[in-house]
Amino acid sequence: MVAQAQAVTASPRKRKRSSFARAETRAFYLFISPWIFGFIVFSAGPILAAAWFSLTNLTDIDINHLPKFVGLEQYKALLDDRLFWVSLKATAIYTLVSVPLNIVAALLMATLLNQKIPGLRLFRTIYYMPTVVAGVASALLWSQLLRSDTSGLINWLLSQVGLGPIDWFGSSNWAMVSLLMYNVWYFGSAMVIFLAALQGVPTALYEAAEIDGANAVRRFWNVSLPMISPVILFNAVIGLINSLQSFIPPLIITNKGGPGFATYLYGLNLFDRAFSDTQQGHGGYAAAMSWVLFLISLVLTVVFFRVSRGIVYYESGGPG
Amino acid sequence: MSSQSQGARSVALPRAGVSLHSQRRTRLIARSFYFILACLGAVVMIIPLYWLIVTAFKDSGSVFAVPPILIPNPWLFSNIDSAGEFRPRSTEVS
Repeated sequence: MVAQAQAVTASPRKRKRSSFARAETRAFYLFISPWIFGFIVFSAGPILAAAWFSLTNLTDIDINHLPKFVGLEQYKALLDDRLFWVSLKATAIYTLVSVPLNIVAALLMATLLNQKIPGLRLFRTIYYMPTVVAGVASALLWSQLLRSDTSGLINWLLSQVGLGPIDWFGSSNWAMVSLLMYNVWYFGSAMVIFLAALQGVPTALYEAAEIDGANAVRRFWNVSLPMISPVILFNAVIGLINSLQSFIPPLIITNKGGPGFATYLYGLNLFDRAFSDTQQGHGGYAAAMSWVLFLISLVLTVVFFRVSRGIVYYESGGPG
Repeated sequence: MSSQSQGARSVALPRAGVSLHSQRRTRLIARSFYFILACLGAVVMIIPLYWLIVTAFKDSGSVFAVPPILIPNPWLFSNIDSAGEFRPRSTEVS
């Protein structure tokens, strides 16, 4: 291999090749430049600005009043803030349940919709449909569906079968359950990705398993699951990051994190600190919070990849 | 190649001790079971969407009615018009 590569570079066509390569590199940067521009201006810039703000005593955005550098004061204040820990705990519980729940639901439904059943296209459309409803609209819808008296559709249905109305937003546990229900209704996007992965599994593997006498459950467990394990990891990581940033559901469904602070998720806390009109905006503090959230996401993602190393099967031999 | 393997898959593979006929029957039962399961799931997924659409055509009184009104009567299509006329507070010009 190495000798071959050297032979190629030492050939008289070297100059021509490299000029071609340079032209190609230039074209590459030209084509990718809109994305790079957008990334720097709309993502990297604000991220770095937030890092700087988190080290200052910024309150409101005020051009006449430049924020002063205060070092790690905001981070220190964060550790002493009870509400920070409360929202972190609520987010941890929410993430711990919602991510596995969503993945299991999406995976089972994808497997179901990978069978030969009549009306397959219609079913795939129906399961994906909630995903296209705008976030605030669907959150409002769920807050209506879950209304505590029997004027809420879900409580009415429950009382019809004798399960009595549940005060969804009155107890901290039921409030969390209602957020999880809303979230699991959104499994469509993960399901579509699973479905694509399942259809990429070579049929020959299933045939071989079938000849060996494996039943449907065995085929799912010993063929489908290992073959799509990289996609499960992908969905887990994406789900984790989205779940940690959850903001709309607690704001609208449980009415700003209620009851008390039972569903006061981190994203909502962060928003309140930065933009709430009841209290003075604390830009520096909120920036520190967002960086802490970013570091948590980063660490958990790295942990996911490390832990998955021995579990996930890569047909091509794996990344790196 | 893939069409070949597809064809092989649709023909039930003979398994030891199981007749081709009964295998085909279990396959049919499994498929009906999957279909029923998919239908149940679809109903659960569609109920909120149905509610979203139906609520859009109710008057504000029947939105809160006990028991819930499953089909709006009358259908208030004027809601769509008033949605178009709605202005958030911040855009109001005095």
